[in-house]
Amino acid sequence: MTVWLSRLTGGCRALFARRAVERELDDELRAHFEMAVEQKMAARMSRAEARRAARLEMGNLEVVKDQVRDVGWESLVDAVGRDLRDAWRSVRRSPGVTTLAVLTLALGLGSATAVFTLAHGVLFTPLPYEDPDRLVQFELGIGPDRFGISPGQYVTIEHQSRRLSGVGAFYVQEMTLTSEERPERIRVGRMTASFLPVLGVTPSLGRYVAPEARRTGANGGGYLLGHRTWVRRFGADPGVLGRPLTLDGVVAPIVGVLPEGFFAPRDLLSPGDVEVWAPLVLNRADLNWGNHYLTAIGRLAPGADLARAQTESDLLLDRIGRARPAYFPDNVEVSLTVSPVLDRLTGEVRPALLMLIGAVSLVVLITTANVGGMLLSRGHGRRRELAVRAALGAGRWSVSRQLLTESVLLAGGATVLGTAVAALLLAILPRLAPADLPRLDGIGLDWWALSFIGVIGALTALVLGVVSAASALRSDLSPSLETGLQRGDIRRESLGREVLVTGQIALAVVLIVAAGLLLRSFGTMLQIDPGFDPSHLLTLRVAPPEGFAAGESSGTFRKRLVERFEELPGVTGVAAANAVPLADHPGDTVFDIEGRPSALESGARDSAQYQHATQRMVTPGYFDVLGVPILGGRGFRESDRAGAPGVVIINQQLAERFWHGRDPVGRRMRMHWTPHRNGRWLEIVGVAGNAKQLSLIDEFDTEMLHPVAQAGPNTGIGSMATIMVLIRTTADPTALVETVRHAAASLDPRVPVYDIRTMDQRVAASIAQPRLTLVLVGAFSLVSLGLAAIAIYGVVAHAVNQRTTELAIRIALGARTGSLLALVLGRAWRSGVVGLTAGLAAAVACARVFRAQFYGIDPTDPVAIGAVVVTVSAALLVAIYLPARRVSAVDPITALRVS
Amino acid sequence: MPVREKPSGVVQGTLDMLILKTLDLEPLHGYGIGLRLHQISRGVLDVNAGSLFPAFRRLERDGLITGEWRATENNRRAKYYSLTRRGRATLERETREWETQSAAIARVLRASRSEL
Repeated sequence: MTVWLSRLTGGCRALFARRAVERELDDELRAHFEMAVEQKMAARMSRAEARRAARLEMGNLEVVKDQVRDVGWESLVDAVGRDLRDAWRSVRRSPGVTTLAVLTLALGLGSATAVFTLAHGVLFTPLPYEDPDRLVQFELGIGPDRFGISPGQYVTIEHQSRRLSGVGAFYVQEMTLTSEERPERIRVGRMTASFLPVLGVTPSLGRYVAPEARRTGANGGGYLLGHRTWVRRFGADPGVLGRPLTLDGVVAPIVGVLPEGFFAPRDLLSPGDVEVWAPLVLNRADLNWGNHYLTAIGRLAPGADLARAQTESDLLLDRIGRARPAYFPDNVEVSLTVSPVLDRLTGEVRPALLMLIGAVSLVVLITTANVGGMLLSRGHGRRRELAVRAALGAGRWSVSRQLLTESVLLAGGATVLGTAVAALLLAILPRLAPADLPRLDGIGLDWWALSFIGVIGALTALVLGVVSAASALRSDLSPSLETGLQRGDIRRESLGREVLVTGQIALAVVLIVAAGLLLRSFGTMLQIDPGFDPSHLLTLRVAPPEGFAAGESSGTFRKRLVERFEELPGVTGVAAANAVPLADHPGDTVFDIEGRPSALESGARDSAQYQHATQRMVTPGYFDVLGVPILGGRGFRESDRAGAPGVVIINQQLAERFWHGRDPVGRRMRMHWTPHRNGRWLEIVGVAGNAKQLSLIDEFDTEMLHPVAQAGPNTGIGSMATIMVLIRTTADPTALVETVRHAAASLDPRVPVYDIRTMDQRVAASIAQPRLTLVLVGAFSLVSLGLAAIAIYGVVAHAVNQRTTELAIRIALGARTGSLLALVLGRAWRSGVVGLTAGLAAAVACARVFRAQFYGIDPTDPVAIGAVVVTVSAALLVAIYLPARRVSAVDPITALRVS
Repeated sequence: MPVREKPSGVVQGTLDMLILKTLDLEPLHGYGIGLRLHQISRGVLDVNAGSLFPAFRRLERDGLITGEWRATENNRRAKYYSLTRRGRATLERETREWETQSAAIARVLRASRSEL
């Protein structure tokens, strides 16, 4: 469109060659004028008359010029510049309000940006795979439990699936990395050759574990390094390829490095970072069908969708169940679920993050309403100024444009400051976050965050501008000059502020109720009895040196280790186990009870009757050191060694579920592996108290405990790959960390000692996520309560100031302070009561939506809600009382004299 | 902000067309254009500077007319406007539209009951 082009160039010329354009216009008008004069003189007017007539004809030349200038778009640029200058001047004239407004807005914008960026990074950023939306993950559900899938099931899916174009699997284990320095336990992922191709990931250096690994055995393909490991341990040396790496004593070359940012789709089975990847070769001749340790990933085939893949997987499960009936219990529900990889990764934190998003949105609304109120009351004081402008010829449009420009300035400043707030929060938040919150690494002030704050900053500017312009324009400006304020103006204006204040109170109440409920539920969590005594307890993991991995020697090492630790000063007891509560999952099994139907035989489909238990191996001292009581029978003894009759201790949960109050001591049970292979019968010698498994807020599991001396490769109980040590201390256990390290090293310097934490730390970590939610929502609610209190304070103070004359007259006529207070407080009270009531109603509705976030309490918990009502009322009362006090201080004589 | 005056006696929007038509006859300066409109309309159309000059700026910006400083017959410097090619095309199009419309309006205004 050439019209646009010529308009553009013309406008630019007017902007950048302003002088020339103006001079030309002047010349043209002068020529016009003189020609008119000449013409009139030719019609026999005198020169003076002609000039006068010509001037009359042309009108005010300045007005004409303005009209000409207004033709082009560049006049708008000029106007905006003028508005900005005016706005800057006006904003600077009231530095107090401006500072407060900018700070308040910055707080809202900044925290919103931080939370949204966090949520966006965790929940919505695409995974670092090719076309990640097409990737799905398998999950086997048996009764209430969720598992990965077994190698046998995996191979079935691999062979029979038509809806998936490819499947791959991996699992993660700990292995000892031997190097020149001290040995370390690291996480090693083992993946099928198809795993990386299915994800669409290729190593950034070298090659992926090649298909020939299938033939050449476990380490034929060599090791792949994670990018971070490559940088940290090898200084990002590209010459690392081909160098040997020793894992659990097996030497193989490094064949490649994975791209930066790569991580395996994690699930409960394999959290944490994997340092090295090794090939996983399934023994296809003798597939394991009973251990569900693989995380299987599939890529949807072209044309397939999630629903179809699920239908197919139901079918596959059916086939697997019919082909190998022995592996699935008849008496519980079994499912094979296909879900998007991203859902599996973020499913657990999603509700908490959505709740935070909701909370921070309320904060933005409250801060905006608060600043809106400030602008309204300031606009009130500026009525005279605006009236003067109007009298000098400013139209409504130009007055509102100026007010809008002021909001743009305020919001602009707040956006800049808010960006700093967001950056700060984004630096702090990941530190508060629980360790298992996925994908925190890459989160920071990126383009997404900047665009976000830009957009909400602009929206805020618009809302504020419209609010202040609407209030300025609603009433006629001109009378303000003559008579000051009209009565109706005051009323309308205070109505606007009242609505804003009521809204703020309601929103703040929603936040405070949320914080109150979270606080209550967190308090409930802290009250939870974990079933043991977590204080003065140090826990650490030791990997037995190579060569100790199997047989009697590992038992010897363990005994020496325990004895060595027992000798340390300040230690009152030491025990070892394959896993301790709140650290790792110890493993689980299906069991038979002597004289009853086998675990997997038919019965009612009732998950409570699913004969399944967590399985733990412990030294005799375990119960004493951890503080788990033996409720019936006996604990383990040194005599429960290999070769002695097999014994087992069950926890209360298991005893109650399967013996219903009768004494299980003396009965026998065994582990059920396959229909043809079972563990030996074990006599139940004792019943132990329940202890929490992975988190304080989990229900108690059914649990079997075995004497570690009766465990081992040939016992079916398994052997302890690494040893978890429990040390009960008299003083602060953290003071003992170095001593313990030294003690272990004195036994064998090759032994990695790691994962050293006090039990109290583990307790805290298990509730880190609810704590983060509580801290954030709590902070938001405090800020909102403060803002709401300030707002209602402002309303009352304003009312007192506005009505000083009226009050003075009333006092002079003998009114009592009480009736005067009622006069001033009436509206504020209404705001408070309506806001509180509406807020409570909304809060209860919201709390129901987020019910799952509150542990152990009802969303309408009377204690929390009562406390909220008291707190909010108290805060509002103070905020109302302080300014209202001034009523009694009104001196009628001074007040009346002033007006 | 200044208040915009209405062009005196000229239907808004038609002033541009009239200026283009005037310039179609010969290039003219601003005063001449006003005078010419006055003369041709036999004194009916009296366009003041406040309407003329914004119209010049608008038409110039849209590339319909172009200005050039020249000497007048009285040896005075003045800005002479002339039609551009696009201006001529616009004039022809608008004239056609105007004639169609005014004929239609005239028919409506003359309409009597018998035509229903």
